[in-house]
Order: sequence, then C-alpha cells, then structure tokens
Amino acid sequence: MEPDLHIKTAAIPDWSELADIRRQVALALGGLGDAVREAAVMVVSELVENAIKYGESVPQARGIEVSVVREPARLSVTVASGTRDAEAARRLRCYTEALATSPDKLGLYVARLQSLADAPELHSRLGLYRIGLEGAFDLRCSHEDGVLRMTATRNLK
Amino acid sequence: MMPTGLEFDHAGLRIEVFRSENKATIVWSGVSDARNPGAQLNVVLQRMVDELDGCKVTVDFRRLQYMNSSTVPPIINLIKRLNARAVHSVVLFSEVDWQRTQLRCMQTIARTLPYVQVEGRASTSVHSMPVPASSGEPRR
Repeated sequence: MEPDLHIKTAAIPDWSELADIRRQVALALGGLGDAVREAAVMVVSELVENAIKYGESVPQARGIEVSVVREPARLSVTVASGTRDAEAARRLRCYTEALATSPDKLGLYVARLQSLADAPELHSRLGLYRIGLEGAFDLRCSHEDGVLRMTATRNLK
Repeated sequence: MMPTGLEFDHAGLRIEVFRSENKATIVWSGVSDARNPGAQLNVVLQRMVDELDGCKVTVDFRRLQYMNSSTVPPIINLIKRLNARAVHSVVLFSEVDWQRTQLRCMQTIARTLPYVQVEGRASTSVHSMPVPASSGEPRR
C-alpha cells in the first residue's frame, strides 16, 4: 500500500528537524480526527527521537526512514534506523512485547514514572510507554540486516 | 496576578510565573521537545520553587501544545519539590486527549503527595497541537 507519508534521510537527522517531521505527519493525516492525528504525531516524534539518540549509520540504513500508512481500519507508523547492536535490539523487542501484551498500561506507565522520580535514569524509555498508553498504538520491533524497525499500529474502528 | 519576571523562554517553551500576594501561578506554554529538557528545567524550576516559598501555587499546563516524554521527569521533580516544601499546590491539565492521559498519571502519583492536587479543567485558550511550531535552533 502506498504510504500517506514517506520520509527517508541520507543521514541521522539533526534534533532540530523533529519539529518539521511532526509538521509533515500532521499535514499528511489532515483528514483524521484531532485525537488520532495528535497521537500519531506524538508516536512518530518519540520514535524519531529514539532513532536520533540511539541510531547509527549502517550500509543498509545511512539515515532514518519514516512511513505512515492510513488504511480504512488502521493507521500504521514505521520508523527504521540502523543499529549494529543486536543484543540491544533483542532487549528492545522483549520490552515492546511486554508492553504490547500488558493489560494494565496505565499501571506500567505510572510505575515507571514513580521509579524515575525516585531514581532518574538516562534512558527512561518513557516514550515507549507513552506510545501504548497515551497513543493507544500497539508497538512492534524487528531487527534485520542491521536495521531496527519500530512499527506502531492503531485501530481506527 | 502580575508577572514576576521569573521566566524561562527557550526553543519554543515558555514558563512564566505570576504572583499576587501569597498566590502564584506557573504557566507553561508552547512546545517542549528538547533532547534533554531536564538539564535546564530542573535548575529553573528549583529556582522558581525557592522564590515562591510561602505561596499557594498553581502549575498550569493547559497552554502546553506538545511535550516529549523527556519532559515528564522534570515535571515530576517539580511536583515532588513543591510537596517536599509543604507548598499547597494545584496542578492543572486540560481536557485534550494527550493532556488527559498525563492528568490520570499525575493524579495517581499525587496520591502520595499530600500537598499536591491534580485537576483537569477546561481552558479558554487554544492548546491542542494540530501542527506544532518550529522548535527553533538546534540543540545537539
């Protein structure tokens, strides 16, 4: 299916480009209701932030790739970036699977906030919790040929 | 309420403090999407809490159009600091979707903070985030 938005960068983007990426997502999803569109903007922004922070340029992915696909019954967002760290990708996959299957996303998010409040950490992973709870998107992760692909999907029905 | 001159204005995020006798309001507006917002915000917010000693404080997020998840820890720090100083505080979120989720989370956290009350309240201002404004200069 042809994406409603496809962005491919030649290098890992600068942090200052985030606002423009959010703007492009908002414009591409102009026909959707405010709540879904705003959630999608947040999801893309959080995933691209992670790609900028932790992604690396690899032969199969010099920069990042953002794809937004709107179908009648669902909305999918994919952000791909390079990483050579297969172990980190495996941990991330476990993490996203645990989040996706949790029946209590609010409880998980609040527990994470509490633990961060008690002991701040550099890698909060709050964005991943937020995608599931606030955005109501299911998040999946795959790692193949050095490319980490984060796909978030939300039902529109 | 009058502006106090206590403010933070950087890269699309504005935090202003208004005061009237023993009441103060900390108003957040704009976009918070810095890579590491805590690096600046924790210092600024600590100074604001120090300056507002003895006041009843309202922290108003309803004009905040967008924030990234990295902004949440400094907000929690602010709320915990207010509570630790025994400052009677009301934290306001709007009824737009993304703020409603933050409202629920902060309400849960505030259950253990006796001086802090978290409320959802409609705002007369436009504060959703249809197309976020540019965040300004690079921060890498």
